[in-house]
Amino acid sequence: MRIFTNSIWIIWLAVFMVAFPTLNRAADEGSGYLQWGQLPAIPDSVGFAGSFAGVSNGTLLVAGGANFPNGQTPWNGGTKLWYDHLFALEKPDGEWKYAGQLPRRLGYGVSASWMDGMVCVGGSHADGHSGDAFIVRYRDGKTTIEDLPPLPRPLANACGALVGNVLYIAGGIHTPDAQMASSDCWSMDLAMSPGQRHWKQEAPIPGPGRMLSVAGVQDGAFFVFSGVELVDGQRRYLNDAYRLSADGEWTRLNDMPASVAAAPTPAYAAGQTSLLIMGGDDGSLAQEAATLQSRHPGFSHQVWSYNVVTDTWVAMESISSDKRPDAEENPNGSTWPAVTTTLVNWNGQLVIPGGEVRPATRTPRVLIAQPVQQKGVFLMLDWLVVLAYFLLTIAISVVVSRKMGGTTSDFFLGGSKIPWWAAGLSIFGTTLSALTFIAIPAKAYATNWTYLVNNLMIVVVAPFIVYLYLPYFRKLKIVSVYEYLEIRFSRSVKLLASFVFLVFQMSRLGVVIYLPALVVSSLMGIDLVYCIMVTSLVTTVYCFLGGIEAVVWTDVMQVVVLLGGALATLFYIAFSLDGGFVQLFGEASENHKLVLADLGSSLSEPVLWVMIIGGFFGQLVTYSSDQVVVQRYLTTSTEQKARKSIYTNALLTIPASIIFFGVGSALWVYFRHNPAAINPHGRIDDVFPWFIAHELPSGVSGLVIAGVFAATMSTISSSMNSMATVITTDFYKYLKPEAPDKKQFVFARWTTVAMGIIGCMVSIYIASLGNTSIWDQYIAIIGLLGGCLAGMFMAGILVKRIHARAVFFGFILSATALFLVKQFTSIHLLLYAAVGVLGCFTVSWLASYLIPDQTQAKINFKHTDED
Amino acid sequence: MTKIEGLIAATFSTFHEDGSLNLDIIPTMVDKLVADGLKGIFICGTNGEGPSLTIAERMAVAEAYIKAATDRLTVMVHVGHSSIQESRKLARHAEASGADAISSVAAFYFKPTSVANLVESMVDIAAEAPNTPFYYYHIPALTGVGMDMVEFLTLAEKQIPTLYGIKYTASTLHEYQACLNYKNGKFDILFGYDELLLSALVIGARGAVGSTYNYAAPLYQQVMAYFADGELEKAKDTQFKLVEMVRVLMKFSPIPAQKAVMKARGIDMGPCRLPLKGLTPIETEAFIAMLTETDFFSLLDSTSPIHR
Repeated sequence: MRIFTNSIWIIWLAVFMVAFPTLNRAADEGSGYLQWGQLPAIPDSVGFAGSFAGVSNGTLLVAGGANFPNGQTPWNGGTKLWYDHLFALEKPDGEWKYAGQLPRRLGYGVSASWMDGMVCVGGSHADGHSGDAFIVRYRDGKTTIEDLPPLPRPLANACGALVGNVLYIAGGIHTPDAQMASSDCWSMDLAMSPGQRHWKQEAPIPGPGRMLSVAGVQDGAFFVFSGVELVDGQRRYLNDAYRLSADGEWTRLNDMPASVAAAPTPAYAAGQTSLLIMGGDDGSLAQEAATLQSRHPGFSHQVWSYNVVTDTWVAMESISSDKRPDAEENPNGSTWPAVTTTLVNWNGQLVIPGGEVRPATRTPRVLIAQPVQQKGVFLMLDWLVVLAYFLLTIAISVVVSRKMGGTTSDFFLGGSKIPWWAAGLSIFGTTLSALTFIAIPAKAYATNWTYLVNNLMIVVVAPFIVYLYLPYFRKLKIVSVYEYLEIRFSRSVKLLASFVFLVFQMSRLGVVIYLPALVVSSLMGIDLVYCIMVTSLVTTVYCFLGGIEAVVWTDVMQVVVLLGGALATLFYIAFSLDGGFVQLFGEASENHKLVLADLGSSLSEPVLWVMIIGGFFGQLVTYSSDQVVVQRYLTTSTEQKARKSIYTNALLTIPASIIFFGVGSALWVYFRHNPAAINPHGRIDDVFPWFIAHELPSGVSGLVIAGVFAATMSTISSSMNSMATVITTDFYKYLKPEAPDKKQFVFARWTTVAMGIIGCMVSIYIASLGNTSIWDQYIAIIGLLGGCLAGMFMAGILVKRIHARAVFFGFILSATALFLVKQFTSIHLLLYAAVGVLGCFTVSWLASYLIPDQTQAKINFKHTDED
Repeated sequence: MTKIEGLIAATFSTFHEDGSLNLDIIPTMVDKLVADGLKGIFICGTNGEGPSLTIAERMAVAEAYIKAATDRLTVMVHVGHSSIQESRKLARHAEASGADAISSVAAFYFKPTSVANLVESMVDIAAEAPNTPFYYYHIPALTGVGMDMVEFLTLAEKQIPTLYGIKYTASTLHEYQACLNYKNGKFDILFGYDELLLSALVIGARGAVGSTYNYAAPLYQQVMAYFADGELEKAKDTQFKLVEMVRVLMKFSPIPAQKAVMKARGIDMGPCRLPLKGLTPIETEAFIAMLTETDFFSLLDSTSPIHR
């Protein structure tokens, strides 16, 4: 080994030069969250307000609406004219086409894009209001119209939006001369067959009846903002806001800083948590409109952002406009923020077609804005912290690999001389991936602490592992946990289990590298593929050099770094508040962010008993049948020490979970106090990375990024080594039983490298897909088999009579059953593990009575003595 | 699966003067063995007078050792019996009590007639402890069953999923080596002749089970350490001291004589069961005097245990 160990530094130097060629610096762009532009103007010299707008088969449609033609105004006796034109724009750089007409001249109704059509509901015309509803479809230059059931009463100036397939319509006014606006809310499930569709009356909107409100949809809920109340026919501007939850109840939200009546509706749903409202009429000039006439300065430029998680409002930025000196006489030469029009989401961009720019004046201009993701600030100090982390990883692996002997026992089990506490920390670091590091705070931020119980179930599972499973794993002196299945059942059972393990780990490895790399690359401003390669390369090299010992000792350091990063965040937020931790937990608690249990009895919701059962079996699967974890039990010198390592991990989970959930609650409190710091385009899972990049002081964000790397590397290193262990022990030795240990050792080492390369390639492949959902689906299906696998272990350990053929049958049948359960029921995904374990166990047990045992068949006097 | 490396003591039976079991002394014995750096214990075997105990007594002894060992030692429980049915009960009990491994001799009254017949008997016993490693106990000098052990491995490996190896107590080193090398060292073949330990090491032994390891383990560890360091001369000298000691033992009935050594070293294991008989006071005196003459005790006292 000596010649080899001397070259370790050289290997690292080479990796280092590849990994860190330059230290570039990501700059804070500081620009807005929306990048504004214009689409071709609607082909009409005046433009329209109150048009229907939507998207059908990729084409932007704008239809109907009204204007005062030829520069007329209400105050000089002009008459409002309604239209039935339908204009279509197939591509952003194309031209508007006249594409047909509506069933009648109509404007000021509600429109929404559903599947391949634009749904239009209600509205007004020269003779009064309409309750008609219909779907406009545009394809290959042809327009078709499908009728929907009409609203029970005519309605104009309402707002509405789609939550999935359900269209909601709120407020509005029934007749042109009504003295009061409506507070009705109607819904229709468009997914029903045409004959079944009907309007359903929802609970009325609390507060006064209203029209010209802004609708919104986010987080699966329908929102109504602002609007205008009619008091004896006089307008009163409102700034209240409401949310209609899934159970049909309205909740009043924090009031808006200003009224946004008639703003383009619905609000733009940005990211997963924000609703953006564009301008609107705050009512400040409503009384003077008649006297100001064409000197009216126009409506508000303000973009308001509402966050549905923190229930906060923030003035985000301005709508891009360009008011020329001749705006009074030639309004169409200027670009204005518009009201009384529909906001359309066209391929992720928000479009505001036409609208009213000051009383009586329309615009033909079409505004478009693209969401802009802002980059974080990552300074030299942060780079140095991350660099220090990598150097520490390298140093540990070099020290460890110098001592490593050249046997498989050294490579897989560290010569069974790892201290129990290090093995315990390694189990902890292995099971805590970067996904958890980011997702748990996100969960606690968006909801509360109900998932904590799931995490803490390891404390309950640990004694079961220690008393039922561990003694067998230790005394059978297995290296791969699946060897147990060969000893207890048969070689084919083992090969099946090892194969399932390998397929799952290889696929998962890609995601486990990809997702944190995605986060880190966007935070640090480096290329995604580059980030994937550095993570894989560094990890592979230390796994190659030092085997399990390097994995365990780097895990220990990595756990310290990742917990340090999380704690630093918690303290930073606590100290940013005047009242410190007391205020932090006080506010979180007052707002139900620390709720630990939902006492409902649903099978499909994260209620307490689902957490307990699901958590128990979920943890049992990992800790009883996952090589990545079980291998750690075998690295200590005695069973007693292995026991201690299992308890170490279980007990460490308690404070660690509290820290991670605490970070989530802290983020909620922080963003509630600093609503402007929220990323309006953020997904919930991005909340922690965003905070790291934008709010944490320099140096601390480097530490937390190092924590993300640490969480990733501690997981993938273990996965690589365990796959090499299983491939060598369960497959290579089976195919080449004559190979001496030395050869196996060399094989295992290069297998580790192969795993690193596969992980890296799968990861780059996922990056090239640009969307993980297909891959997630695939992993979820393979992941189902994990529960059945654990069921086989349970069968072997608990019931002596279960034999190889019975357990094989149990596995196949329970896997099929689980797949059906997943496809056709809505039980919470945490319960899949329980179904798999108990299903496989029960079926195997029953099968052991029905299927004769091959080995028992020939020794027929066996069961004479069942006492 | 990994193998046992180091020494395993084949423990002595423990009786009160009236001939009933003395379980109280077991924890003391276990603590001494742990202090001496032993890797495991083999209980109720030849040395433990297993065939002379009732099966209820054997179960009680197994439980007492497992409890005392608290996983500091690998506990191998011998379950062999002239009745296969009793063996099966012992095997089942051993697994339930948490034994680390079980081992069985061939039935020794009606003896197996072929290797296949032997394997068949062992399948039946091992199946009662499906989660516990099984070692066949090969001791032809006492059972009179001297089958081909390589053939045994060939047949048994297909039929006994829990087969881990053989406790090989025979001086046929060539066959021992063949077993060690079977399928590139697939099985754990523990060597059982203490006086041949060095020779066994030379041909590849890694683990050994024996009676003299109860009190002389540090010296044997010395042999192993010298061998591992390539100091063959020193290993030879130390091994020879041990051969001289064993030669003295052989002048008496070995098991009662070793109990006398244990008593001289401060642990009284009590008398033996018929047909074995304890040494008379005069025999004991002569025996201890002869051992002292070989420098055995002084050598043992000046050697400290090696913990690996």
